[in-house]
Amino acid sequence: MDERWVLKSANLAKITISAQEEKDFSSQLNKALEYFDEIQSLDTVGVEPLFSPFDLEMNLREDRVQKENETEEILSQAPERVGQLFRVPPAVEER
Amino acid sequence: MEKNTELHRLSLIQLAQKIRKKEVSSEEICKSFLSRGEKLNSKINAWVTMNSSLLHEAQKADKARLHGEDRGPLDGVPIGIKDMICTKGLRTTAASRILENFIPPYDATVVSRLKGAGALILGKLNQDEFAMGSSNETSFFGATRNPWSLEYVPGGSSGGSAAAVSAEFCPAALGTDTGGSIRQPASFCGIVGVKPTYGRMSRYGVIAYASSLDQVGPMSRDVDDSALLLDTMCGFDPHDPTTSRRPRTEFFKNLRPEAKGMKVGYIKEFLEEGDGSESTAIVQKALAQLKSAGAEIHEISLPLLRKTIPVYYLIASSEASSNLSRYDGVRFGFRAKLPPTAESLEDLYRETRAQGFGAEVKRRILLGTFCLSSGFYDAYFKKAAQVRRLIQNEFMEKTKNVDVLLAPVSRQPAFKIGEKISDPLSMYLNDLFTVGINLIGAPAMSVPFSHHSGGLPMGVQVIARPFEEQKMLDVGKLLFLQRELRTLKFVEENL
Repeated sequence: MDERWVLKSANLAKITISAQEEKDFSSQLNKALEYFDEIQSLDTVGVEPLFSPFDLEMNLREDRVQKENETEEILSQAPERVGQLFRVPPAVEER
Repeated sequence: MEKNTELHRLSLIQLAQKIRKKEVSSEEICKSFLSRGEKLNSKINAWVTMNSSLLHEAQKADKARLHGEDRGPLDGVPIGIKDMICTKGLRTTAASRILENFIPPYDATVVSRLKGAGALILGKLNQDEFAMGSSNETSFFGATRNPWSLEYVPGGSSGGSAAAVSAEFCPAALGTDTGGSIRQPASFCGIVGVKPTYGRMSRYGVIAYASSLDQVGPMSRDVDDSALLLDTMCGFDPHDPTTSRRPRTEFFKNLRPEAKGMKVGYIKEFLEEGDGSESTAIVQKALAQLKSAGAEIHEISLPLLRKTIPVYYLIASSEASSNLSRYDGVRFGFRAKLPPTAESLEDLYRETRAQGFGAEVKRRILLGTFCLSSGFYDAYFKKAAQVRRLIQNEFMEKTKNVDVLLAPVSRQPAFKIGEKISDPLSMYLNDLFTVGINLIGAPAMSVPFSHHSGGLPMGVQVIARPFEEQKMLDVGKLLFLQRELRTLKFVEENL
């Protein structure tokens, strides 16, 4: 396992972590993973993974237009907006 | 008529009856809880936000009642809600900086059902950040204290709910339970806490931590109140496709504190784990009482339950890393202020999440991201989900011939604030007796039953097979009626 997996995961999860955090999280999580590895010895060949307790049949609802939320109420929670749009820094960078 | 200073002592059902009989108004009751919170919350730190329109809502309810309007079985009674559950127009933070100022535009289904039964929302209760923790110490708003002894944690993650109910800040509260987050704090604070079967409660509007494990449940000072709250909230919700289509429950009406002829199991491995400890002694005492009430006692061996901590933390963290990816500083919640040198959308995500999440949340996101990442998915997430299947199969097979199981809730009673927070693994290991139930999807409750030699309360856990909450509640009520009764000193000493 890559010893810098914590930093790689932080990168994938889009969270900046400090050098101190990388050090602390690595030691704490490596210790946890070492313990968690006890399940590796269990025989699971051919066992279907259980992702939800009762292998749910999805209860879909009818596709019907309903009014549920007000645009203004939703937008009122935005940290920055312009009219009816969310405002963000440039998403496409110039080359 | 009861003196108004004593109203906080009454149960949810007693308060509802007094209102219905017009012995007391909803406004008087709400005022009594508000003033109690004002006076005492600084010692406990259970409330994060109070509902500022509560008295207005209470007056409206009182007026409607005088005009003969039937507002439902919980008419005018105020309830506390864990800050993990959305309340329309009332700040909901998940005890995280990233949602510090979030005002939900809608109610969670469980909240709209409570309101539909006439209940009022008193306020929002402290918790571990995003329900990740077992001590309430990871809250952005500071640790909650255990009303039984202020140096101790109330448990977690629904620690604010447990502390508030125990300190009589509210007659009952909602919690959420992903790996024991209702049952463990209920045990630490000497109250009743119920985690229903997965699928009983709608998760619509409940801030997602680990979607295949999360369930909402009631926390109260007696079993009747929890049964009534379950009936009020359970049932299919078109907004949550994982809710069960079973008919509405009538747990409260059917509640019989009986064990005659019941087959009660105990989990051999759990009693071995805690051999010689007081948590084991409490389970044995409860078994003896059920036996003398006419129950048959059976030993059940569930060896795979010893493996539940790794499976739980691998699955819950993986689901959390996916669920929490929505917090990006764009549509709602906290947004980091960027230095002029860093001005891209990517930087905004990274800085917002770095500043918005606390250490425990980051740890679990990183662990979960790792488990789901290319090259490790099979060895960690898939492996854990396969073992989860084996755990569930073993439970369903071995419990076929018993009605309920008894188990400890935790290895020890509440621990001191600061004692475990710097060692995450030791905190995780404490959850051994609760997390397996969430992996299986079964219902379980913590019943206040006894006390540790140090004086702190300790509950006993009653577990049932999926959708068999009635048996669990019946046995739970019997044990509750036979509990060792001690009065919480905090209340008297501080008034």
